[in-house]
Amino acid sequence: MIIPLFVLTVVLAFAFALYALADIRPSLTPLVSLVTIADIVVIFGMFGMLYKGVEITLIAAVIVTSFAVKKYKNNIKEKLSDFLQPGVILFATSCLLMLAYLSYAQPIMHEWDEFSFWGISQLLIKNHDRLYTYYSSSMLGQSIPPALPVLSYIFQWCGTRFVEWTGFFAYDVLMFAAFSAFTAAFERKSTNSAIFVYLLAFITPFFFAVSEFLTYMKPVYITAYSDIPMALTFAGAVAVYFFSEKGNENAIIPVLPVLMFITFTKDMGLALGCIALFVIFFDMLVARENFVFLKIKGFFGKCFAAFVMLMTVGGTYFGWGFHLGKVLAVNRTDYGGSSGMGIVQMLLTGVKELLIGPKSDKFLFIQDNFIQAFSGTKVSMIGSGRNVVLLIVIIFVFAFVFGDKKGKKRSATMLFSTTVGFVGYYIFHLLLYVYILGDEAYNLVSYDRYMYTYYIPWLMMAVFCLAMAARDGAKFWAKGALAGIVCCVLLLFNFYIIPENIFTGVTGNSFAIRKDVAAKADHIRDVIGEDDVIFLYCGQDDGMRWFTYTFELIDNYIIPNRGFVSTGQTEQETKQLLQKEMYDRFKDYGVTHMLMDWTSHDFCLYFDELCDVSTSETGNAAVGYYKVIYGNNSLRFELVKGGKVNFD
Amino acid sequence: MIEKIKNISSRRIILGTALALVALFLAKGAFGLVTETVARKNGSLEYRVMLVQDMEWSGIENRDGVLITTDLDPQLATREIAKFSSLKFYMEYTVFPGEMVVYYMEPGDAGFSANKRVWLTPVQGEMGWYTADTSMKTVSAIRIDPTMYAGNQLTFGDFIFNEEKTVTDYFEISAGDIFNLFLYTGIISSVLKFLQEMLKKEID
Repeated sequence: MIIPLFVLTVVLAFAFALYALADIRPSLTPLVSLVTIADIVVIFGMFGMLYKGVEITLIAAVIVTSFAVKKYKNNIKEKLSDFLQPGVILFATSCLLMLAYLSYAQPIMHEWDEFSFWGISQLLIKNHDRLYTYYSSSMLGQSIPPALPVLSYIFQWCGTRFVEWTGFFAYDVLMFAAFSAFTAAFERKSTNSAIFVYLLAFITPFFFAVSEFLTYMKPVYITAYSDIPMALTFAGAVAVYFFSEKGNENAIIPVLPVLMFITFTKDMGLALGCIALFVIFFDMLVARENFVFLKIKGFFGKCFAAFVMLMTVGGTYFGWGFHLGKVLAVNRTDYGGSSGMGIVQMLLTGVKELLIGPKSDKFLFIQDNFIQAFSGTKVSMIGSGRNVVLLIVIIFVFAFVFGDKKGKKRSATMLFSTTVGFVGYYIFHLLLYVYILGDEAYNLVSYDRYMYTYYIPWLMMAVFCLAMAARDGAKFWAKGALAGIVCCVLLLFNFYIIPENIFTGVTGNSFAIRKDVAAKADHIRDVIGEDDVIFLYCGQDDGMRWFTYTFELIDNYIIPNRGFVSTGQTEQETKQLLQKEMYDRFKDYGVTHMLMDWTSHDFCLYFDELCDVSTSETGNAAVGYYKVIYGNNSLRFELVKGGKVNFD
Repeated sequence: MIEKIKNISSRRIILGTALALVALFLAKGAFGLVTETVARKNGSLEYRVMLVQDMEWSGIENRDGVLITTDLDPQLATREIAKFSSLKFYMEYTVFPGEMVVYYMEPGDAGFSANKRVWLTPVQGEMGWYTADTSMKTVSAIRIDPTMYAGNQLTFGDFIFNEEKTVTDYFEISAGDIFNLFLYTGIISSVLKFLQEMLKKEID
């Protein structure tokens, strides 16, 4: 708890320095401070200096803060008082409460993709003090950018071991910092309006992330998934620009580290970074008068500012690509997938097919599904995407009607640019489903999750405009509308989420598979060598247990079972074919051991004769770890360790 | 009176809201205590012990005296409980059960629904016992989902419905209650402050 608390303190101190020295609005500073620190550490990490990078960056942040304190030592109390705006206070309070809760509840990772990448990458980075690109492991997605795993690392860099809840806390700090930025329209005299916006932002992810678990709080703030943090950071980037009062580089430069962070978050971050850039540029063009960027005035200044943002996003994207090329010899632009296309080829082919044709059967099928899904697939508490868009438009209309002259212009501009952004985002996903995803594309797998990554920030951007109206326009009506929206969302929140069930998801039996696998892994850990290449057999696995084993036995290669496909005329022929297939596969992968997690009828029938101790003795609540003995075109399995495991 | 309201400070509004919510929580606990005590006395809330044989099964097979789950959604149900406030039961298993849930159907409901369920949690210090508590409800049926895995060998002990609670049970504070306290204090006090501003005509 001490290390995360220390890092949080440094983030806040650096935020104060940004306010004092760079004149950034206080509520925006926690986000800018956090992502700046994370971006710098990622860059250090790309050069193999992760541990030192954190030390240097945190020390630098402390030095800058000391300089700011020294500079304003005569009126430091005044400065501090001005810094403590509602957003900053809400940010610090939420972080401390969450820190207390997480350190008490000690939740662990238990969701699918936490073991495929988002959690396991944090574990790998912490264990090795290096980015995961520098060594090989069973982890998938080695080319995914590292901002979130690195953020988790920063909050525990000098700890003795990886602490999972600290990773959740790092994500929460990022999201709370974004919420703070959302409240930047309001100063202390309008604390209640800031609270409306902050709590609305807090509840909004639940408003969307309910499609699977309607009645208990899906662990939005206790998960290593990247979608919601990325979505909120995207809205945060727009907020940092939107709420900046300055008509000069002061409005743009703080956005750059946020754009950089989004692009460093995930491949989709590039698309979101570009949309944020577009929204900002459009607002500059239409609504910012007398704009000067690095002494260049007017239209050209705006274009130059956009160019700098584009360079930041592009530079980050290609910088990571350069790192991958150098360390892994991987081409970043090659998405691969079912059609083996690169991203540029995918966009060109897709846009041509969409606008000119001819369209393939797959394209037509998925396009129809996408159109129907917009009004037919539930993505939120109020239903489909169509309903969500309607709600967002209503908020924009409120903002337009109640805003002052400038506010009306900005609301209309923002509605237009974010709608264009949405259309682009929707088409981009259509193309991803058509060209990158395999058969699962026909069912629009994860459609809701991909879509709320845009709906959440879009809704918040509409709220930004309403917040501006509440500050500068017809305050009574705009504030009333803001309060009304918050109360409506809260009512829905109450309707869907039963109070008794809040937090149960992370303290009850949700960790069943994880606990089971962890207990089995612990049981055999002492006999596993560091070079063992382990074939995992689990008769009832849908992939989840394999993913979980890759996490628990992080230092070894875990080869999954792919099922038995060969069939012969007789049982004996089938057995011979399958054993030969297994021999070849084991040889290919250099398998040294077999981990029998959960046996099956088929395994007993075709392979049990190869084991010195029958696998039927392993399985439910019991495990077996076998050494593979290679013969002439044959295999044998010798039990190294096995037995009953108590995982209650 | 209106002048007094106009002059209430923000701190007092926040503190007042928080205290009101705490009072509401206590009142809710007291209400539960009183209504359940009365219901117990007049016999409508009945302490009842059942065995697994007394229930309807689905997704569970009895193979030579051993209960084995046959699909991913095994269920036990009863229609013999009229008022429901708690359940506690004993279960042994061969595969970790995963999420365990109790559904309740109220009179007039067409079936069990996702927003009428309570999660079962292990009883601290009592190995093998699971429990679910809720405020007293009139029910037409109760369904227990004891595991989310097939091939699980289950051994059940007693199913205890509506066990008498201690006074402190009604006032137990959960992490969810604390979360709600912060959430509602923030929103309600902000709405009150807004109304006060309106009263003071500080908002144009």
